[in-house]
Amino acid sequence: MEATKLVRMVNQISVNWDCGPDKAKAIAGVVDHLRRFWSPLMLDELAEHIAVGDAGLSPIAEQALNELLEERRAAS
Amino acid sequence: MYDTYTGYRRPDDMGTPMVESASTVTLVVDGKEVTVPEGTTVIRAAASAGINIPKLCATDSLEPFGSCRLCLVEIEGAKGLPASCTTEAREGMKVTTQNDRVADVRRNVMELYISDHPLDCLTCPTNGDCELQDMAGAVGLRDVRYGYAGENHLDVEKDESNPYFTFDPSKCIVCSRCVRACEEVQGTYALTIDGRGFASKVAASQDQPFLDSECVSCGACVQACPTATLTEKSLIKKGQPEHTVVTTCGYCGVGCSFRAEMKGEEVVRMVPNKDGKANHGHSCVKGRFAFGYASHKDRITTPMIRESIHDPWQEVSWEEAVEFAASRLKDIQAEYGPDSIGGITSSRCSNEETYLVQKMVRAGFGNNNVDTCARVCHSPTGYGLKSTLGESAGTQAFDSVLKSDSIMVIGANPTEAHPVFASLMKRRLREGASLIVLDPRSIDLVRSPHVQADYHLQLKPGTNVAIINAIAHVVLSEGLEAKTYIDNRCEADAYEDWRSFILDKVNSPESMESVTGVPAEKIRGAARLFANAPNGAIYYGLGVSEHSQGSTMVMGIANLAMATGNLGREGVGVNPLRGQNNVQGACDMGSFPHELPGYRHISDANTRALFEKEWGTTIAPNPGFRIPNMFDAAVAGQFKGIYVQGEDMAQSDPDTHHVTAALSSMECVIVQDLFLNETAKFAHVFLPGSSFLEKNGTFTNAERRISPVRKVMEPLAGYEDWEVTQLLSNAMGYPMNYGHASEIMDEIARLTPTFKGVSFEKLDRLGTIQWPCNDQAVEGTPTMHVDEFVRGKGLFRLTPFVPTDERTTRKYPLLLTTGRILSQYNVGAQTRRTENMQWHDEDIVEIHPHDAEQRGIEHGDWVGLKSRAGDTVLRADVTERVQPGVVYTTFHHPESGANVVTTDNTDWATNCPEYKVTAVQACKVTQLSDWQQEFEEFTEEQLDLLRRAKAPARVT
Repeated sequence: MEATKLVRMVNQISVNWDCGPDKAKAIAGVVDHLRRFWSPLMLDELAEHIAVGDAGLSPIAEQALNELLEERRAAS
Repeated sequence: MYDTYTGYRRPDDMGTPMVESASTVTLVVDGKEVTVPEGTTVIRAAASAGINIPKLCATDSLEPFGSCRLCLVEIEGAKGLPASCTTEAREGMKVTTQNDRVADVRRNVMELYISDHPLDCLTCPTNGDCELQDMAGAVGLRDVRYGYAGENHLDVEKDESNPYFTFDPSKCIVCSRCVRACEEVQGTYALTIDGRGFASKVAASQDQPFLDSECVSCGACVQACPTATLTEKSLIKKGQPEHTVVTTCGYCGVGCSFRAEMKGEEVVRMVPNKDGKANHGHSCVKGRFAFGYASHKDRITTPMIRESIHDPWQEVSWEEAVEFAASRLKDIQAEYGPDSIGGITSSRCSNEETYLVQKMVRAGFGNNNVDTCARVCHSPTGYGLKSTLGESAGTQAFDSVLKSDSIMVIGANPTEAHPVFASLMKRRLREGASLIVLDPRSIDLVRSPHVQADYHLQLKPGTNVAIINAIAHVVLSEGLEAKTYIDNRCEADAYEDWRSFILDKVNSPESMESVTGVPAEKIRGAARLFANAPNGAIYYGLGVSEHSQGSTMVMGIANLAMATGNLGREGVGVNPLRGQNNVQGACDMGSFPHELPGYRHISDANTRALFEKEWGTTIAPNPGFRIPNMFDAAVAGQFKGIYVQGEDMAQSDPDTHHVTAALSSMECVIVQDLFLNETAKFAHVFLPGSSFLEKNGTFTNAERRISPVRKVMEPLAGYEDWEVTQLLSNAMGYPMNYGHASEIMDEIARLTPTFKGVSFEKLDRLGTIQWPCNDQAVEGTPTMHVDEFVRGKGLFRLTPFVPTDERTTRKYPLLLTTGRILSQYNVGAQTRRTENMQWHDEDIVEIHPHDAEQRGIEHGDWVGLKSRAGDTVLRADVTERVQPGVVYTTFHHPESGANVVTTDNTDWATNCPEYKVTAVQACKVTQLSDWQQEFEEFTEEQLDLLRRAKAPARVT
């Protein structure tokens, strides 16, 4: 699936969670959202895409993804 | 209460509507003691004791009128002969309903009626089922002393303009039931009595033919009429029905209960069931009359297969079709992986059917790639209400609106899309409830007979969250919030966070005025009106959910309801108006890639174990693909097979170019439907489906009301839809052996706590059940969150306004929004195959006179609508219903290409498409768009391939 579209989606999720000074809460919200609603295949695709360079992720999105991918790596 | 399947007879009529009262009165009628609620009329009190006083103008669906003078009775101590329909029963009253004096008067009344009435009973369509006949018999009419040579109305011409019913004034007794039905029940006020005395006659609008008048063809006048004056054309043609089956409408999310009145396996007419808890004997043009699609010549009743979508179809046996489909799907999985196939459940099929599709996908396909059309309509409702209140459903029954004091309607057009509920709402509005409408268009509800919105906040498309935050800002900044309620019932920390967020000046009406286009004072006025009302109810539709912040807006609505203490009792609530007959049910049944039935997340090991044990298989623990993800993966070459039951994404989903590209890149598209719909033109396997008349099952409406669907005819293709899924599942290697739909519901009840007490037997007994139905609520739950929210304490969620990416530009300076119309239903596959085409045979684009003038567009011109996604051409309706800068169209006709223009923008949480905001340019054109011309060619090609369908050459 088109990775730039996945980037757009995760940026959109992040901007909707980023609604106050508590950035940790926003990141946690995005992580939970991706965990609950995204197919692992989509996360794999996104992981591959961001591994090759600057994917255009927003700061919150980037941190959330890194956290989630780390969680998946630890679980596997 | 009706038997569910019974020989035809006219339902009992108690004369006047039921009255509810805490106190009772006891009176004596013909020597019999009768106790009734205080406020009950004498005629109804008598009927409840089995004493039927003759009547003609009285009927229990309408307020008493007292015009026919047939129901006169003697009351001890009262002067003269009062009409029992307009006389309230009082304690100790003594009523005599039959004696010589009363009999004489009644006979005289009938004599007058019959002196001006055709005597053609034997050839009249209501022969045998006519209240006038009955009364003539009841009063013992033997001769008409006036003779028949005097002035009369026997030569008045019939009005046969309406495609579904005939108006024959020569048979009219001017009882005014039709006029009263149009007022009280429907609320359209299309009919009146024109003239006086002998010249009195029923007139539609300005004495016009019915079809040209304001009549919306709901049929309320037809079932109210006691004679043959207003009669269904189908009854005239076929004669009286001989048996009746109670079932549930297959159109919208109101879920009206109907009596299918039958001759053998043929439906003579569909009459709304007075005992229907959702509709109370009312209906709309679709459910009432537009059922003919079920036996339309376009119905496909033989399975078909083909190698490529450019090959002719081959008619084959069920066995061959199912084997072909299963082997293709298995081959695809072997080549592309287990996640390369999926299924889409239908929001028009039954609960049992959608449950089986998601079961087959999970247990048979081995993945969670299952989704439903709620994705494109109310998925934000699921997310938003689950998050804030704890359950993905509306909180009230429809009847709750009758106790509302202030009604807020956001992004919904109920008079078009939920007409029977709209009629109920209008009744309450006429009684004095206030109305606040938030909509970019001037929908009918804003101003219609005896109804006018106190506030119409005509916001710009894409600014919902801005305005709901502004309304909440007013509530909090002016101290209008329900402090005690919030303290008791909501999470304190979350409330404090939300409170600080909302009170930020950026959310004030003044700050949001330029964003929304709504003057700050209007926002303040509306907010005060709502917050100060004892009972405030919010109703909303796709104008809320089909946005890039659809989920946020749903949460904003829930926040407002909690903040004003408007949840947990009748008269209030958060009420999503679910569109389709079983979209609520499809969601309940786990048609989502991330949820099992009962809205339990797939990652919950305990829930998975429950299903795994029952199903004898393992279930993948991670979410699967949503519909948009399936299309993206298809275009990327990763998703290759799909089973689509009763869904037409090629017409209904946004960004048509993308959808058709996705379908074209798949190797096995299986469509199960009634007709060759737009998606089927891209299919390799066509499995004929069954309409709601051809199956047993249940639908769940917007009130969480589970209602029975009962088979009235054998499926034309031989199988109910669930049986087809079962065949496919068996062919895929996952065995299913259900013998009847009730067994499927029993399984659902075993596995789903909110459905624990549901069964076909209980539905037969109670009529309908609103879930949750469990040990705590054995007969169901009309109002949710009464003592506490399903999640315990309500959760305020932060709702920052994030403007959509879809902005107007110089190139695309207008905003397109979309909606529905009364006579057509969604993609129109059903209603386009009925006489409803007479009302709306093409989709048109509404454009404001200012925008039209700038572009040289006149009413009726062809208009090209172009967006960044594509372009199409529609005919123009120049009107002030839309505001400058906004254009509007419907999507009921595939050739309109409305979704060629809509984009891939979606709600951030659920991927629900942003149908309601597309930046477009409009210009006058002289021919159809390239897409439309290609569509015509493709359609003709596919129809030709269908015509060439033949058996039984094998496809290798």
